[in-house]
Amino acid sequence: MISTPVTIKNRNGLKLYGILEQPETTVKDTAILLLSPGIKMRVGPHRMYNKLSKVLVDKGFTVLRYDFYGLGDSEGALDQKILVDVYNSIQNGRYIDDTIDAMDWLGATYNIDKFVLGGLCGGAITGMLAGSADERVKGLIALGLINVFEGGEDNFSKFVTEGQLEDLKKGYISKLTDIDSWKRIITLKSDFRTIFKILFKPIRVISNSIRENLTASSKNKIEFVHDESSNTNPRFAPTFFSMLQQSKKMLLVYSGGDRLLWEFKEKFENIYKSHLSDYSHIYELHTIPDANHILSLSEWEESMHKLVEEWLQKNF
Amino acid sequence: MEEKIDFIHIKNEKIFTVFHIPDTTDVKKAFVFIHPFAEEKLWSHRVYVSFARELASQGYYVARFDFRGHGDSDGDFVDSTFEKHIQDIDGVINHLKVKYQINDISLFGLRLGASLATAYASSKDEITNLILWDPVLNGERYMQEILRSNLAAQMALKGKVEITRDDLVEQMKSGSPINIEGYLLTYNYYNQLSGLDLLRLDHRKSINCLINQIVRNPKQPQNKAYAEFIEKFSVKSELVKSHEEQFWKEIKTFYQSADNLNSSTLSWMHDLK
Repeated sequence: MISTPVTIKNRNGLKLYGILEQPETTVKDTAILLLSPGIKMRVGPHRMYNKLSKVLVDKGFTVLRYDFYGLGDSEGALDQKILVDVYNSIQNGRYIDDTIDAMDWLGATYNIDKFVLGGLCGGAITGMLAGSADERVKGLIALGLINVFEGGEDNFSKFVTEGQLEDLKKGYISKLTDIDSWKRIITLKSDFRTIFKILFKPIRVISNSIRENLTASSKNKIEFVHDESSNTNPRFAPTFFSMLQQSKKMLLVYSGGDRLLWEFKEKFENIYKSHLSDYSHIYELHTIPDANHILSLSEWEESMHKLVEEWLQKNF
Repeated sequence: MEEKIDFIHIKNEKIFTVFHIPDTTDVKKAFVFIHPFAEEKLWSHRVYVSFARELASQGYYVARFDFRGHGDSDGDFVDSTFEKHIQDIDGVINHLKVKYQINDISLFGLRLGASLATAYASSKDEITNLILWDPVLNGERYMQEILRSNLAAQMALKGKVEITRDDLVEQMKSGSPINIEGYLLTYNYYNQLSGLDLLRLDHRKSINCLINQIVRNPKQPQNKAYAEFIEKFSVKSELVKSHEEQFWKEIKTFYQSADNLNSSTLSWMHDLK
């Protein structure tokens, strides 16, 4: 593998720092950009991107890992003082331009005009937002694709999903014989709002099924539902369908122990189920059982590598 | 101010390095930045970048680099050793001497990075100043904290701790690395870092040292061990406190720079001149 430190000037004149990794022999005509997750720079948590890049380069792809402005080694600064606000700004498309600028640079420097965008969490949503707007993008590798804005712990009980509640319910049941848990209840340290939600769960299930029927009745025309009181990202559904309508292949990998899987299923997939069935050949969704958000165990990471390799072999 | 990114080579492996080069400088002086352990490195990265840019704007050269097995350098974390860390620091310092003709070299580090900087300086004659932000004085205690993160991961995954701290150490001893937030830790590396005890090391009295104790509450008292440790260095050495959050882990605040640490450190450097 040939690794080269590179700097890319974005449209605002800020230098973005990165590493270009290329195979030593046969090179495919498609480059893969690994987009920084959240505020963690181009290496990703526990160097996840370095390890993934090696897998991709071994398959003949050119890979660019780089830092968006204001992050990692790159120039620039962000206005936000709170981490959640940074995350939300990324989910709202803060780094679309930096992604397009990096593709422009690869096009001008290495004459590459076909791209697959990939990333974890914030990197995945950035890839989808940029990918739907740029015809050079042919595919997306989305690890833990996020469809909701971060509400922080304070809003946990407001936006919690049914799947999370189900998991919590199991946890609460297992704690019925635990003295410490009872102490927490007695000393009012328990999260009563969440417990209350678990008790009233059936009402929420009914409201979701009504919504599903409503969307199913208008099968030919997609009506994007956005409830102002929910935490869903209003750009998510239109962008996801834009990717599908442009036949841009998408690999979605979720971690079984990550709330994002439930967010996606309940706040997107269940709602648009009837429309999504038309595009089942364009996107595939895999879950790595029990895994956490950052795939910290080697076996989880290897499962992800295998899924990515198979998907690339099938599509690129 | 210019920034150059490059790989320098040590024992046939590449070390990723960023050189911050000041626009003007009277006397060539450089700082080598030593990063903290594993994921702490990522969370504190932007603070390192900001401080490096601040120093460069004041006329200092700065070299930031990734140890082998970390960041963009070659190697895997599982192969990390204390000796390699010392070799890597050595390699970066030699590069500064040969390529930039700088002989006045100081070290800066946060947490375990500060400990490694100190360990390096104790064995070499060439380090002028040590700037230590919240140094880990006792490696054994620190590694116990590191093991705790494995226990927390077990709790999150299985709802209970199935493998105790002692079992984890035994597991490493038997040759199976353990997982710390995705990083594979071997017994050799664990044992070497556990053995770091800065209070017991022999230090050169000629080194100027700043210990910047990070406090979340300005009323927090001075760390007694730090007060004892600072006595081992020159008379110009100082222990100061700076009010900051623990930006080396995930916190609610987005930390782009540690302004209090920067200003108290620069103030000490100014007084040294």
